[in-house]
Amino acid sequence: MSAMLEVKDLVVSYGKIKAVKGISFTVGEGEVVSLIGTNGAGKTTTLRTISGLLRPVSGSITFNGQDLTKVQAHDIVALGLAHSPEGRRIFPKLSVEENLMLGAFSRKDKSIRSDLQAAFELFPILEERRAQPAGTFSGGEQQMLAMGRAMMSRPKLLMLDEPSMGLSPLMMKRIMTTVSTLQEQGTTILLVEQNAQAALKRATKGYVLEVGKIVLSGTGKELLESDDVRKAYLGED
Amino acid sequence: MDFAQQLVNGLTLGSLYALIAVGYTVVYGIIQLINFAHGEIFMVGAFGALSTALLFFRSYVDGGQMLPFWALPVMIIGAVAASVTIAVLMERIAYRPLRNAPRLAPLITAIGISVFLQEAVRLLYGKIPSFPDAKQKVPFPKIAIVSGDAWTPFGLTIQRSTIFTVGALIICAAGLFYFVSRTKTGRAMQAVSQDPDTARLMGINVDRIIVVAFVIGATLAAIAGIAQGLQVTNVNFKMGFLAGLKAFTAAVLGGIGNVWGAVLGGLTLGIVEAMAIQFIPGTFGGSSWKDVWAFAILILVLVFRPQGLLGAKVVDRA
Ligand SMILES: Nc1ncnc2c1ncn2[C@@H]1O[C@H](COP(=O)(O)OP(=O)(O)O)[C@@H](O)[C@H]1O
Ligand SMILES: [Mg+2]
Repeated sequence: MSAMLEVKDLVVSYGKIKAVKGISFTVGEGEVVSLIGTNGAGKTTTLRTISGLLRPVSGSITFNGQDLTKVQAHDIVALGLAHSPEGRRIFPKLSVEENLMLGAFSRKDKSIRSDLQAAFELFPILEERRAQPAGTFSGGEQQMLAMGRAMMSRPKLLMLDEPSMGLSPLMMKRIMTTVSTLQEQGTTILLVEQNAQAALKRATKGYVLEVGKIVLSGTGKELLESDDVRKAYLGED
Repeated sequence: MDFAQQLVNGLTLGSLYALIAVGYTVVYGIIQLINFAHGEIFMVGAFGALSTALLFFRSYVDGGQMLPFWALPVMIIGAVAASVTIAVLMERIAYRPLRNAPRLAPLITAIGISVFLQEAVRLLYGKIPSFPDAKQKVPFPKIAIVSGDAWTPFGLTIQRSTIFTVGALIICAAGLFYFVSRTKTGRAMQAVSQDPDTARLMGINVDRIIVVAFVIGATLAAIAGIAQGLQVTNVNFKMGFLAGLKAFTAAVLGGIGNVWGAVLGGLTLGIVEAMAIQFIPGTFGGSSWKDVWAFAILILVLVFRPQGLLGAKVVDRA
């Protein structure tokens, strides 16, 4: 069986600077795959390239058999790939509900309203504040909104870029629990994190990215137990 | 009484500025481009209306009669069609290829487009069979109900064209409010203005939204073109220059990027000009100095409150 997402020999650069230097990885249906690495490793660049916001210098990205490097960014979400970007990037002047509805922008089916209810069930605080401008939210609430918004497209694959960034430990736990819930509900997840512990604990598979190259891969458990990861990412020696 | 009369005059002028200013501000709000050729979109709208009258109501025009009232909607359609066509072509041919160029490039292009459109109308309009030469002013047809004798309630003079202009602004502002805040495309527009990359992740085609912004601006400018034709009873190829600059001033005054700012800025500027004509005594008063006061306001705003009255989005962009 071929993978849902297959990235092969991907090279991405900003002008002369190579940010991603030939990486390959796969995400199979139903998996939670973690991509971990320190700041500047090329994680965000990788996700933005998968979403079509950046174009690769070389390499291929295949999603359910389709070559994404030839699809326009705004057509990708309709294929079943949602991207919750780094820094949450909610639309600050729009209300919570408007933000969520924009997540469903590419959909034309009749069940958008029921998915809005599902998002409210996932994060009840969003329903309480549905009419409030999203810019007034705390970081954790914005993260919930960003995830809810991504789920509104009914994705087959959800890409999360550092959802725990800048959150309190309690909020981080809440977000990570939701990642597990979404997986149980059948969403495949590609999780980018600097927080290796949290990300690998839930991962079926993980990759470690260092300055644009994958230096280590394995099951979440294997990576958590590996000496290199413990030293570099979990601050142990 | 003088004050009330100048208020009426100011609202008339201000509504015209506001209708044009919206075009500067919606385009700026989406792509941070100051489309200095927008004044020419307004001029093209006026000529579009005139052309429609010449094509479909020729006997009235030649006979010096007023056009029937139903000519007005027909002329509005003609004006909007002309302005929108030019605006969309402008975006596609001139601005889109420069999307990622340094900001000076589209600005200079805009000036080039301005000159090009003015000269095209000046030199070519009269070459269209049976159309008048447009090297000088061309009379704008009079239309029943919106042209003709002024009303004089309570000793005030209210031109019929004033009612048309102010009414057009109210209807356009209401329509715009509905579009921006209640429709799916309107919300997508707000999303693109706040964060274009994330908007693309939502599935929003940013190129399409940019075209929508140009179309909205052109539609309102076209209606302003008719309002101007009715007010001054003639049109000319240069009319977009000063009106465009004033509307740009209005957009900056209100806070460029903010649609309600453009409306407020337009009305404020129009009223200030009207009051300056009436109440500034001596050499610096009167209509010959009103443009000076208008641009003095632009400079003061740029120096002391560059974000404008209602604040621009540039400031609160992440
Ligand atoms: N817009 C950009 N222009 C130039 N260089 C960039 C840009 N964005 C990221 N980079 C560079 O690319 C590399 C990878 O960045 P990024 O993908 O953001 O890493 P990560 O998400 O793993 O922290 C870094 O060296 C960063 O400085
Ligand atoms: Mg990053």
